[in-house]
Amino acid sequence: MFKTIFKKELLDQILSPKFLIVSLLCLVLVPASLLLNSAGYDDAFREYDAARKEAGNSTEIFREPSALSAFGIGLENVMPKSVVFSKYQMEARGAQVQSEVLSNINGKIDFVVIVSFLLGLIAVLYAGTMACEEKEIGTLKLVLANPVKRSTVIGAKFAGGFSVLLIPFALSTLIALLLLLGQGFPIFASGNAARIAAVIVLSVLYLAAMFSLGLFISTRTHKTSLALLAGFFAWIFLTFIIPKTGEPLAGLIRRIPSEDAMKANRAQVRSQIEKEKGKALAPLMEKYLHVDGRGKWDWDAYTKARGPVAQNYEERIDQTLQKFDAAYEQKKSDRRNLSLNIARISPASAFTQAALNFCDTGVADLENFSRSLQNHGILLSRAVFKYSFQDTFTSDDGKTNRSMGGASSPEGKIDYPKFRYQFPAFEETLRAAAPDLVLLIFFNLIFFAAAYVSFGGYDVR
Amino acid sequence: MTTLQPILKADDLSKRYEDGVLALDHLNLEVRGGEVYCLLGANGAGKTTTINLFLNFIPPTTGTCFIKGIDVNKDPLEAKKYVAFVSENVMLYGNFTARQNLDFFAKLGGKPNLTKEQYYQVMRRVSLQEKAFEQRVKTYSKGMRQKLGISIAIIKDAAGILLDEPTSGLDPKAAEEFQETLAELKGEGKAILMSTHDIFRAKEIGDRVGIMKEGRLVMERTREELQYEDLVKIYIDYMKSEPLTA
Repeated sequence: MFKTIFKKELLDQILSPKFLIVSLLCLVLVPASLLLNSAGYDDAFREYDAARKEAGNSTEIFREPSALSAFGIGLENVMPKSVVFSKYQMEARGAQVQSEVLSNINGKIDFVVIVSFLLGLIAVLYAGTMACEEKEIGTLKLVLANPVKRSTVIGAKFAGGFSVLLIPFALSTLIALLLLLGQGFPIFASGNAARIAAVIVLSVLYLAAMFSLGLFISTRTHKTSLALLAGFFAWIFLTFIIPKTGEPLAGLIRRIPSEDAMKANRAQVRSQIEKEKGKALAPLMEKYLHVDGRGKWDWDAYTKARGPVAQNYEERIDQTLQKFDAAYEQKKSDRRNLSLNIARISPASAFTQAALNFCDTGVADLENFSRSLQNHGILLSRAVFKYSFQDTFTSDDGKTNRSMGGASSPEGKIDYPKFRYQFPAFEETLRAAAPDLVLLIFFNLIFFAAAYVSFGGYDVR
Repeated sequence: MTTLQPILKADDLSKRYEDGVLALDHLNLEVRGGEVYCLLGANGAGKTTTINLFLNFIPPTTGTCFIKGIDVNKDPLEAKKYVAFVSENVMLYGNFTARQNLDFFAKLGGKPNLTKEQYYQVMRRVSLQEKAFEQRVKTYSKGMRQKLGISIAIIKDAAGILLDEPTSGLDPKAAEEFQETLAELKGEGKAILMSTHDIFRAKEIGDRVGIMKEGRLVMERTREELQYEDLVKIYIDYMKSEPLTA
């Protein structure tokens, strides 16, 4: 019985005009978006490579673009292209591509967006009419007048209908991958194949969840028009409203100071320790750096003598600012995690988060890059910035300031630490994506169970 | 030639819906093999509810439906092996051809190995045009769809056939052809329960005719009895009479 109904569903859906429309859409959009975005990646990589070679030994580092951004752009354009380090701080550059105004306003189309939005909607609408349309035309009564279990009917409807949805998806993805291979895209380089496979598996899981949701809607309605409307609203709610309310809601629940306020606080903390350092260095300044002609100006002696005195204070500044930055990053991370967790109520959000992580353009990559920057900052501080200093002396009444900076002479050439951004390992990404993967399986089970139970009591009259 | 044991039997069958409406009130009826039982009545009299109860689409409030002695409520899948159903306005799967529709329902009905010729034979039997056999059903007229619906019931070769207003909207020729097919099925020993508004056809084909009003079977006549009575007058009199419920 299952096979008979499965084959009927397969054939019935394939013969319907909607199959042709969905196939055409997929065959145009999926390969086109992947080819365009891979060309965008090529440009970004060339730009990155040239900038990196040109920079040579410097305190500026460059972030390698993710090849898999061709599949999901995600945070690729939000993360900085380069970061310039200086003592105690860093400055991100080129985070937004300002020339791409429309893309920044509307968002770019990529594989993850096509699956999440377009195919997600199609899955809900496809399945949304499967039960109620048969009720409307009277075939459901004819089917159930035979010795066939309702559980078999709903199971075969899911399997048959979903298989039909997968045909254009699989075909367009396969064509797109072959075209990418032809263009020399590194599909089989550095674990990309496994990541692409993971994105495809996630897509199938997500589409299955949305299909089950549509099936559930279909078993709760008795008119096709109502089912389509309900399916559309469910899709809007899950794809737009929930993901977009996650961040504002998290902001209301977990309030944190703005970046500007944080920078002002940071500067204040640093200034306090600098003042203390200035007081400790004042006698040395008196001794070696006379400005009124009463004594000699011996800069070399001063830089040599200040080292042991200033070292403690500079280490304190380093440690205090690191703690300060870590605490702020933690707050930001907590709020981000809360907003992501709120958004995860939606299967679309769970899919997007997990898929973008596998594309190296998701939140896991953002956090990994942030950690890499912090580590590189420490290395630079030890290798480069320890030779430069800025001493500020404030008079006892606080009215006059005297500030001087320079560099002490390193023994030999400064060895600049090399920065080469390492994308998270596959296992690390899998760990980051695990909650979303589990959620997608959970959504599948819940939605299908709901459809199954609902169809068991569906009034077919 | 009728069988002794009833194929279709409603035993003290009642149905009250969730909104409190009593759709069927202690109905008792039996249809034997080789017998056509016509249920007449106005809309909402309980005819379709009776058929829905036989098909286990809704559970009874009290009473039992039996198909070939099997309690429909207790073992619906076993009971449905012995009954075929033709509904009013059969739409079927429009993207499929007539043969594909027939093939699908034959397999559901437990006939998985029929040949193309066997499908064609059944369609010829209901006078469906030969050229329409491999046409998509969405191009069919209502009469053609109804004929295909009958073919689906025939191909199942079930002992009982339930027909829910099968002639509604059919042109006179199609209705006549339908009546002939029904007579053949009766001749094959099928027990046929048909709900209809068509008094003329009920009198023509029914071995027994029951009139339903407000969920009750208020009158039952055999073909012989109706030879001496005017069914139209009886029907209208019942419809005009005072409501049954207080």
